[in-house]
Amino acid sequence: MSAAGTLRRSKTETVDSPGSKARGVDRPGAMPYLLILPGFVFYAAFVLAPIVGTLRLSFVQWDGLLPEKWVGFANYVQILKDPAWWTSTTVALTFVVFSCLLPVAVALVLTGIIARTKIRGLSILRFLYFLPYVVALAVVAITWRWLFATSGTINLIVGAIFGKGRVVAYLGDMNLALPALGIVAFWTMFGFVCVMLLSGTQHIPHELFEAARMDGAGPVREFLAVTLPGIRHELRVSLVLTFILALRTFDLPMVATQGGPGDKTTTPSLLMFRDVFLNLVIGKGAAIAVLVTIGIAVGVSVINRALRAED
Amino acid sequence: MIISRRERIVSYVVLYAFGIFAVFPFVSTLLVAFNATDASPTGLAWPHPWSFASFAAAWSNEDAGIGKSLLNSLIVAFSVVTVSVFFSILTGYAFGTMKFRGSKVLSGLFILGMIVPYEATLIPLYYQFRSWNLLDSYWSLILPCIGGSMAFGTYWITAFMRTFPRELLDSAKTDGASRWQALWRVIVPTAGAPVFALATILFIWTWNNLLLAIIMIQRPGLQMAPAALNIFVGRQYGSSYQVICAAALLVALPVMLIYYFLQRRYGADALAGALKG
Repeated sequence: MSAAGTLRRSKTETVDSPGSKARGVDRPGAMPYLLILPGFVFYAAFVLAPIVGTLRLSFVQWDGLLPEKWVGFANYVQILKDPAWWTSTTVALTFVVFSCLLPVAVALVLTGIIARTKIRGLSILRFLYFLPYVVALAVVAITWRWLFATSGTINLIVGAIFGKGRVVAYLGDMNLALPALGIVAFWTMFGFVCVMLLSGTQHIPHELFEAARMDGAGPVREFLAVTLPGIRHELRVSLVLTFILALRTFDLPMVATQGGPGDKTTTPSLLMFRDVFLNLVIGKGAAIAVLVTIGIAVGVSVINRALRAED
Repeated sequence: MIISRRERIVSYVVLYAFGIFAVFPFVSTLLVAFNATDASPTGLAWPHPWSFASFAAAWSNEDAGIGKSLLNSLIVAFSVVTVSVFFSILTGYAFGTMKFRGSKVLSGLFILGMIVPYEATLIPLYYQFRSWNLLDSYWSLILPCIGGSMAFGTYWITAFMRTFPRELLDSAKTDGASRWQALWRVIVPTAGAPVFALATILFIWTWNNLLLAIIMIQRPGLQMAPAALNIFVGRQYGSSYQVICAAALLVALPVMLIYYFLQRRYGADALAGALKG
């Protein structure tokens, strides 16, 4: 590559750092900037600029056609007074329980078991556990819509055991729709977290388990003393990732329930989507996006602080 | 092993119970989808006779165009993955092996993109593409998805480059290879696992993306696969589950296959390790 060669020759013009001068190692000159340029152009144009744009739009009133009107914090005030917003935040928090806290708790137990026992067929288990996470949430939503349908599998089993009177349209039920979707969210996440935690256990030296057993530690003590400290980093990361995904929940209610019945399963992302693309109150939708982002930033820093403090 | 027999049995039961929990919905969907279009499936019994009619119906259904949407998704995902992986190798090479002014600030900017949810970029993106008259085109998905992939791609390749043995790089340099040649002749040939894992993750993310796809593309023939599925469900609510299930499986299949091959080759950890951060 002649371009790269030219770059290398221009190195003498750059400021020397003391260490490299002595060894005569060639300095990269303009090359790193040229390497970063193409990716950065896309990133700046389609991520950074739109983030700034969303922030700006959250302070205006706009229907997508007529000129924008600067309204300061009016969109935020309007959202905070809107009962639909508060419903959606409770839905989001429910998803934090179902697709962040519960999966992490269950995955910890499964990881503890696997770390302790030599399990046959572990690679098959890992493949199966991870599969729900890989598949599009639109597909997941349909799969579970079938399972939850009145003529679907779960009701067939329930009907056979408890009689036809117990058959429920889970996703259409005012009280059951949200927990039903929560179970789906749990299903997509637990294996993902489990595989992630398992990759952490591989760095734990086997002698630690043996030492714990020599000391007569039971399964619980062994888990707390050996496994848990060994996977702390993975634990923190999986909490962060699942927390972010929980607050962003969109596809699942969009395809499975359209946010219903009523707005029982309407998440903030769904609310934003409706405001911007159906109700054409774009400033308000942008403000919701900003609030969700703030919520994520706060939650992530809380998780990081809580788990770092223990280190 | 000092573990008691009883504990061992309990362990197996718990672990395999969750394994069954993980696949059962897919199996049930599969059993439904293989029913004839006029059967009333249960999802618990073998369909008889096994029939591909529901898959055929889902594939060719005019309303949704699942068949066409799979092609659309394939074109978009392939473009995004190729370009993003190439650019990520370049940015990762710079951040991972070179010292330069402003590298801290620049890499910080890239990391920002992994924390801010992409929902926070959607609204301006939509109006930007509308003003460019690029809504209802592949570009409206390809360009934002490349931008969105750069944060993770850069992070991922940088991490790999940092672990690349210095001596190999230095010996390449004493051989008179330029930095550009060293990248393609020395580093990239050994980067199969991380590059392939990155490509798989980006493929899955791009393929599964629903929100961006329904916002940017409204025209029927141009829908991405999950969006087409969404429309299909909306139009056929409750009528013929086997066709809907067949459509869902068609959309899931490419991603399942790619994941299967990845974990066959590199183990299930390849993806999890990549997502760990």
